[in-house]
Amino acid sequence: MNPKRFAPVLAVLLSGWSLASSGEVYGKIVEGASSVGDAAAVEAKCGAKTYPAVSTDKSGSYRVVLAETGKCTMTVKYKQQSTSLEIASYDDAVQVDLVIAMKDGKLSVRRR
Amino acid sequence: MADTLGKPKDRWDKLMIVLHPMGGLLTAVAVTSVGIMGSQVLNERQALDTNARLYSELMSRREESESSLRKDMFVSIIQTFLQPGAGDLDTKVLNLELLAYNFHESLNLKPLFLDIARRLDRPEAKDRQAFRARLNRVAREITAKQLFALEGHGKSFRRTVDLEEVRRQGRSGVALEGESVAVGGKQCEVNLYVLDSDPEAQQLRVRLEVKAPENAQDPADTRAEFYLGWYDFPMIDNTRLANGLRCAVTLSNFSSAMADLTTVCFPGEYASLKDRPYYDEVIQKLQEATQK
Repeated sequence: MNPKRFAPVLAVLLSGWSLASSGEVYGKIVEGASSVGDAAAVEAKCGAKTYPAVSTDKSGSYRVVLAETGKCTMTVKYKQQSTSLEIASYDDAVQVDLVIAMKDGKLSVRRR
Repeated sequence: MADTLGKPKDRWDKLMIVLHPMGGLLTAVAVTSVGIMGSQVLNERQALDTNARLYSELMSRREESESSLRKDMFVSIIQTFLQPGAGDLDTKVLNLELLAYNFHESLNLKPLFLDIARRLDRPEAKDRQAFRARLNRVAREITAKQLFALEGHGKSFRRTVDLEEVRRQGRSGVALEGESVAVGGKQCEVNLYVLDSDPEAQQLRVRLEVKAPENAQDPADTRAEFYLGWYDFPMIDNTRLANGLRCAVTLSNFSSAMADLTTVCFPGEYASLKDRPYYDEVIQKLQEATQK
């Protein structure tokens, strides 16, 4: 059996498994009690892989699909500032609602 | 023309002669109109009352027939769980799905879910992965439905717990970031501690601590410790607080390294149908309504 012949098949199977186990992170970002609208962006980093920033929609909601599961870092960009927090990505979707605040001109974020 | 005194009748006298019999006629017309209108109003009100009575009768009959149908359905399904050896695992899982989708707001189905889960752990159980996946999927769907309904009337927050950290900390457990929750003018501080984890059973031992704000009239704290898994449904399995609110913790996600918990606090009237309010709570609500 020539392993080189099966390499593409194996690659396709592995990529299929990776997609099937990918996690979705979604939620809403608010500043105090009001939505941030489409003014914020969310970037995720899982291990060495960085996912490009995704803008929130007009209701302040976002959705990021990650290929990895486990610990990830989410960075929220808002009004020319950015702040990060640790999140977890699972095989299934996870809701991560965020509350951002400007204190002494510095952006902070916490999970709600 | 002249009257008895010989004074000639002017235009007003003539008008009075014409209008004098008209007065009686107008009075009769007015009395008749009032009578007809009054009768119409009475008829309309009677029709409305009849419609309302008919509607309530129809509703109560529908409710009765639905209750009877649900009772028959419940009795026939529950028999398969109570009779020893009745039905194979496939039938039991299907029956549990039926029970869960139809009675999740009125029954605590956790014992049945756990019973099936125990049967699946037996060595002779076939297709255990597929059955377990079905059980967990039903449980997650029911939890999500109930959470969605409760979040509309209360407040919720989500936290992630690092299970490796829980194992490292041992008996002291891991404290999750607290949240200040305000529902219907009632405020409380909710804290969660994860004391232990069982990755195989996908369960956590959790302590829920709810503290009243410092300036509250009744600063009673609530503390509850429980095992949390996929089969804990928030409407049914919740903690009653001193201020009448309920708080429930649910498992949203679980992996070998992390778990996500969702906590929802909501007014007691949105708890399950089996959860009746205490008498003092009813009296307190009546008093509040009177004060308003």
